[in-house]
Amino acid sequence: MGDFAALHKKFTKALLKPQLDVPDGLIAVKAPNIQRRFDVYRNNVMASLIEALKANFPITFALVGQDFFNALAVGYISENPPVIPMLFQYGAEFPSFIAEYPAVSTIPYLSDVAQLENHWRAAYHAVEKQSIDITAVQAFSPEDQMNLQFEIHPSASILKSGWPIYSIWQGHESGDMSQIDLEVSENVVICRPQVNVLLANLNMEACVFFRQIINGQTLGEAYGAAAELNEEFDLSYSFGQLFAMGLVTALSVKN
Amino acid sequence: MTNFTHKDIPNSAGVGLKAQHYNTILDEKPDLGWFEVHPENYMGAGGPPHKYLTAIRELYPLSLHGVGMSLGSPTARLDPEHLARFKALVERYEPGLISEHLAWSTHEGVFYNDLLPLPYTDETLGHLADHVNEMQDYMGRQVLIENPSAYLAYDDSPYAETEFLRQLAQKTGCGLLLDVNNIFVSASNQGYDPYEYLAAFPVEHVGEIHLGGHTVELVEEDDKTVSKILIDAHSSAVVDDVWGIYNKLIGMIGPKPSLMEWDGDIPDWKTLYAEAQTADGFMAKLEMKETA
Repeated sequence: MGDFAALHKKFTKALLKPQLDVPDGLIAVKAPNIQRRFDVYRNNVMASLIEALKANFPITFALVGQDFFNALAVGYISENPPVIPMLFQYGAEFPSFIAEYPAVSTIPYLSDVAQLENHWRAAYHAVEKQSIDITAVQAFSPEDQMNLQFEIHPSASILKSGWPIYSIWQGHESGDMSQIDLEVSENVVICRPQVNVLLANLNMEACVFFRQIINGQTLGEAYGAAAELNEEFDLSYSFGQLFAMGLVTALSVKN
Repeated sequence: MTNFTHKDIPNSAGVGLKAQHYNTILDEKPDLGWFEVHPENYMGAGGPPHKYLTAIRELYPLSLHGVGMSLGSPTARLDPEHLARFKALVERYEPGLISEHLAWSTHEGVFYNDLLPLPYTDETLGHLADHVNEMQDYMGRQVLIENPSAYLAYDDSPYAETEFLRQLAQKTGCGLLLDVNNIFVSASNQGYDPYEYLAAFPVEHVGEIHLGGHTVELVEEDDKTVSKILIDAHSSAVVDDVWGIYNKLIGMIGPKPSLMEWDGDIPDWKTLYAEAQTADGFMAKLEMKETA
């Protein structure tokens, strides 16, 4: 394309850069203030993308408030505009942008909270799959049970954090953030077996156990790794939780 | 997964479906002709959006109104991945109508989430026709193309928008989606008479009508003059001037699928439903006149 390709390039370049002049070739019919009219397009683009981030990161938004969030969002949009028209996926790099944003240093947990929101949304939009009940394990002999491998639900993931991200998530859900101890590190497992996204807080050894299971290790291997970290690891509790969260969609025995 | 069979969009009012209203609609099953969604909101692999849309599609005909195809981009081809995602939804939900915009929203891989304007030249007409043909061939069916709302025009734009759309429809066999709020917004912003635009519009190609609200902003043109800019915000009720254009349009072409769009400051279901009933009321009055 000839002329239009050049115009198009100039138009888009000026869209996200308010310091640039209105591109040549545009007219405000019967009115002199062309700048203000071009700004309608600029505002539409910026405001709609800020709204998209706000919808995707409601807890991050609640933690910092409108003004701070807008500043974060504008910075992020300028550096990382969306590349696909599905805005519910927008913000993959928002957590790392937040981590490097200087003014966030007083809220050091903000990046991990945003990351948790990315995991939540990935689970929300993941493909459906039927989870199986813990009773399915009874079909296997006690010797085989320790060699079980688990097919994992497509919505499942784990997020490790040095901050109390589970408590922050829960505090946002309940509307009470007053009881959060920022000295605590929390790891979260996320899964959506049916309509609702489920989250659970995992201690260090349970987190190791879940990670091993998700990575395809056998029950025996996962148990060994968790018990090595803490010999009081509660296998029956974590094993029950694995199914209660809907993480398991099929079982097989490793030969 | 449910297998739907094709269900035509009736010549009556429909509503743009919003997540806030899923449960009310499924509980109350309101007497309404059809719903419309932006397919981009349903391009995830699974999850509640599909669950609700499936349940609503079981009760009503559905129209898919795309905002991300960027038909007006100066690229050789459309984004093959986006075409594939769109088609997967067409196959999954068997919509009665599918539509897109006379606009662009993507440039060099960046999606700007707005419907941006193009000049109306031989060059852009040929290019747009190629893209509409590509989309229709890929989908295996007709696509309706919507007139934009404009805040600026291009200096070098020899075709009137109405003539541009007429030629586009003739070249590609596409239908047209006429947004009467956009007519009013563009006419006000560009200083022309909306009824002259309507008189020049190739209404024989109109397969769907959009209705929506706009906001008004004041602009200082210079030290002495202040003027208005109308913004196509879809965040308020339809104004009487726009109902007037709508009434004139259906007087010319008869009842058509007429969509109530309300995308920001979304009201309760009752308010939105009442707007749709107003459109149905205009269509009913028209039919009474015809039979009288």
